[in-house]
Amino acid sequence: MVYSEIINDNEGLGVINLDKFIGERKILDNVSFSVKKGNAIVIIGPSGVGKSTLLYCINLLKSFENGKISISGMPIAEYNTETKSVFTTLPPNIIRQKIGLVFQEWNLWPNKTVLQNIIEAPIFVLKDNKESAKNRAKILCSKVHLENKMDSYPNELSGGEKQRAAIARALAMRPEVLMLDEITSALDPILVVEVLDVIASLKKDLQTLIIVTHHISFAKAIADQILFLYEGKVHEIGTSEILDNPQTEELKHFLQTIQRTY
Amino acid sequence: MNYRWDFSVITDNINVFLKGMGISFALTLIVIVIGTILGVFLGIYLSDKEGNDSGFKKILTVVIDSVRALPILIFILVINYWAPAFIGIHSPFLLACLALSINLTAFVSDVVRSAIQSVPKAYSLAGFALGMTPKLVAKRITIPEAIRQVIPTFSLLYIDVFKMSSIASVIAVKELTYSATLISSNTFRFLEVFTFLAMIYLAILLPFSYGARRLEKTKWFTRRS
Repeated sequence: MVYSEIINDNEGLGVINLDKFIGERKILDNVSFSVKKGNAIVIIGPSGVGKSTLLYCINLLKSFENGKISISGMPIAEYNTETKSVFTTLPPNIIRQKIGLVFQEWNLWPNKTVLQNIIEAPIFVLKDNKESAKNRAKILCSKVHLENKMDSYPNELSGGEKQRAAIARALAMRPEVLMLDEITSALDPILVVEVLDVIASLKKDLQTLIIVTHHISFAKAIADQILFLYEGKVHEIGTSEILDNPQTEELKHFLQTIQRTY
Repeated sequence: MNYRWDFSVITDNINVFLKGMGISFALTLIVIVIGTILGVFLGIYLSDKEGNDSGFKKILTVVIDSVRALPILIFILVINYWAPAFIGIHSPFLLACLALSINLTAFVSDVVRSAIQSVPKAYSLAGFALGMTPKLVAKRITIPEAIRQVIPTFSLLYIDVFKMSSIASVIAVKELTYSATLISSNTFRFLEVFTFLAMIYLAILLPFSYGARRLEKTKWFTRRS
């Protein structure tokens, strides 16, 4: 795929020919996809195929060994073959402000309340006024149905509440793209529904989303695009129809396995 | 036991005790301030595994380990004979300050280094993912979290400093234990003097020990996500 074919003004995020090695092992192999602004792409695939690694590379928390990443049509990071390092057009911390990431294990700070967790980065990174950061955090808390838990510490929350707090914390940075890394995998089925409802409401707000999940029915409901990652490669990509009509044996097998599990 | 206790030796020499206690407190306070400041900076420096100065860090680690391994009595005697010759300090009080400060610095730096390194990576990763710089992550996330972990240990180290200040008596610092030794050798009332001395140490240190233990049990220290 040619880089110029992907870049356009409507692009939320673009990944082009991304390779990632860990030692001699190729974790991501020529991964390319593009998601439009306000759209959601759902990445599915068996465990260990590089889904989380892909999100970490996009967020520049991990380096990569080939390829480019762009936001809103503007290149932000590219592997330079001469210096053998990733060149970024902006400092990585500025790029991360544009691409939010919610972790599988929420990673909330234990000695800060939900409200303090949410306002920390807006105050110290975006230099927001404390009062306005608090007001915005309160709006976000009500959006993720945590208005009664704002003064609770993470250890006083259920798994679903922790995950919703982590989503609110990421949204507080007003990211252009929000990435969610298997955020329901550590939750029981009832809590999963709470969190998935919140993500569905984000989609309505036209937030660009990149979601890694194993919940196929949720993926079908929310995704504009579905990407099946297998052994580090984009095996299939398309609308949710690819789940009803898989073209490769790997995706067929994966869907059968998932249906037995979930 | 038909020993006749006579505690008038204490009341008669209370001023000597009080003066000795003042010197013990001063010594402890100076050592805590110097040892904590140097130890915290050294610990933060050593906790950073990146950078091109790993050779220097290895040397520092060996020095710290050596200071920690040496018995404090030996260390204070070594400093007592080395420092006058090499850095021109002759005052017993300053020599004791130097030896105990180096000792506390070594312990504090090791505690701080291990506390920072034991803060779960997930906390700093969350900071980076929100656009924080490494400096901001250290300032707002890692170091405050590490402080919570080190405060109970610090209180034990500080209690140890006060206890170790008694060792300064071997190089003739006129602190509490030295005063007791002086009074008992003049009056031959060893039992009364050293019983009273032990009571003073207990009266000062036990409340600190219990305070530290209570502090450890507060939610501020035990909270985990």
